[in-house]
Amino acid sequence: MTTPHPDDELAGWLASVVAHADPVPGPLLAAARAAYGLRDLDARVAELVRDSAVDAPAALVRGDGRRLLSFETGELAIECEVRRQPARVDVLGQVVGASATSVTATSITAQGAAAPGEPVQVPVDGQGRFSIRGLPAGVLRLGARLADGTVVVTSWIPV
Amino acid sequence: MRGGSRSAPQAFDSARAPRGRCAVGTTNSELVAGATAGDQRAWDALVERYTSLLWAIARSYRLPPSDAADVVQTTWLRLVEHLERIADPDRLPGWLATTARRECLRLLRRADREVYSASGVRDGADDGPPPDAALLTGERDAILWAAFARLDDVCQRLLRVLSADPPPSYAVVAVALDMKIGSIGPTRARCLAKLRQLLPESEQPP
Repeated sequence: MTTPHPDDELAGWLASVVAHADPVPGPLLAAARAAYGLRDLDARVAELVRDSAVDAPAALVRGDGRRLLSFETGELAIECEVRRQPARVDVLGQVVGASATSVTATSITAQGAAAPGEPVQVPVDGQGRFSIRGLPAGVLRLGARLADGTVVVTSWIPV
Repeated sequence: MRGGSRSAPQAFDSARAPRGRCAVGTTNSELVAGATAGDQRAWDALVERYTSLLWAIARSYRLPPSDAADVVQTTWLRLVEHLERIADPDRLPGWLATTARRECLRLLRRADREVYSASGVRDGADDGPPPDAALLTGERDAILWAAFARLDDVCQRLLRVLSADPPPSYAVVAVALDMKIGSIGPTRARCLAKLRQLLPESEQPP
């Protein structure tokens, strides 16, 4: 048997200390397993293409807690503004490029319950606009039901 | 040395896997194929294999635990969305690490910019390892943890990610931390030497 390299020994000791001092929280593991239950094979996914929290100059977003997000798939876009209070978010948005009948928001918190919160469904007006208030802050997905019966969901995003 | 609490994959093996399928020896290709086909157990095995890495990445960027949890959960949810499009399952850990890193940077930028009201739900990035010294019953372990906290950012980040269980390949570390793969070995050696220097003479590893 060969003697372990001293670096490997120190690294192994550190790894065991890290595993005890900063372990993966149990509820997070449960939430990650439960994430599979949120798979939606029927929906098209609109990918995040713009996030003012990352893309815009700081001066434009500083201070007021508002954030603009754009998701796209093909010709369809879901544009929204997220206003964050400490533990709640309001989402004001618009479905562009297709006629939508309703929008559903699903918000989950990774450190709390493993199961997602009850989805919130709101109507969409003639211009595709919608407003969802008081969602729990966490990881959010919006789903738009279109007039042709299909569903488009946004990519998940922490808000 | 790293035993103890690390039995999750074995528990998967014996307790729930059908026909003796072995999560530990199962390839990413098999697990991704299983999860794509609707097998929750294959998904669970992926979660058990890589959540430690994702947590390590998020914590290495000094996100507070609630933000780190959001990063990890967002990464898994993105994989749920993308399962059918994972063309090369061998690159899955790199894909997960890249996704987690991007989400860390997104949250860090937000934390810089947003002003949250008095309740202090988001209090910015951590100032270092969590104050969990109480959890370290061993005095020597507590001394090592304190020494680790005195390392510079680069060293803390690299050693934190390398401490994930199972340890990531250098290729995955490279994408997780946006480092050149050739610099990881030398940086690790330099950081471990610093860590050793920070330990009192009596606590040097054998």
